[in-house]
Amino acid sequence: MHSFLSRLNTLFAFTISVLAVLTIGVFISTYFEKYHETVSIGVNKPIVKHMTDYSANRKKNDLGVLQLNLDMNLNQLFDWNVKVLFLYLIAEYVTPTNSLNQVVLWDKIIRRGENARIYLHDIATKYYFWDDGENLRSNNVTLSLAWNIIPNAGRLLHVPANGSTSFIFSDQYTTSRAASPKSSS
Amino acid sequence: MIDIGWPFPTYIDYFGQKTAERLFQIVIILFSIIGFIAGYLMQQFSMTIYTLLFGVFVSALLTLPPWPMYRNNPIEWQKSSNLSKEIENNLTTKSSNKIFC
Repeated sequence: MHSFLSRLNTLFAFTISVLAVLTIGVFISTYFEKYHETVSIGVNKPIVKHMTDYSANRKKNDLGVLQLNLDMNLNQLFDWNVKVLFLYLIAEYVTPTNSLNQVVLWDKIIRRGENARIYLHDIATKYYFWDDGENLRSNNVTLSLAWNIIPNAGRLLHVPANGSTSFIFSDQYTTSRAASPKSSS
Repeated sequence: MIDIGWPFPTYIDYFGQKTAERLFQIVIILFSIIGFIAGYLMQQFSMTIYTLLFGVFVSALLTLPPWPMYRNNPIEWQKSSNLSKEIENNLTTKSSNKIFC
């Protein structure tokens, strides 16, 4: 403390300690936060195609094609310990070989300060809905949304949203180009 | 340690050091409490950080320069005695002790 530089050093060290305490305070203040929110998910025109999956085994696999309606207001989730929200939409279904299949069809990153009121109407899925076989026809698929909370300090939370939707794929393959959602909409 | 050649003495006395340390601790903690409450009310943690940094700036202004208030109690050194004579005296007493032993 006798010289300028030692005073600067002491001041800096103390500032860092106070910052650490404040960060722990933020973590504790949001520790019991549940980050639940209700969302509305809709499905439009689900069809199944039988196509070659060049990204995997080059065999003919089932490809689900559908349009999504998403309606949610997640502005309430952004408290002072949320930096980024990562949303992802999972399709879950059962096949004879796997008791649980999960495919991510859509995701979105919402940073702090961006608009978290999401209303999307008839959007195509962001990722392909490939089955690893031929079991999508007349299969019951449940779509549910979940999000990761990326905090300023604390745990990386994984929260499933309230509200999911189920639909059944048709029992016929769609082959004609006219029935694909891109040309029909 | 880096040595900056200041054109003026940056030294502050012991009492000043104690005062300065106490002062910046109080200022920074005060600003951090205000910032924590403000950040919680606004739900914006960056607000807390900026308030704290402002407090650090204020306390840096208050304590880093060697203000005259930190130099009011200079150390009172003992009067310097004739050093060479003292050493001679010590030597003679030591040697005389050795003889008696």
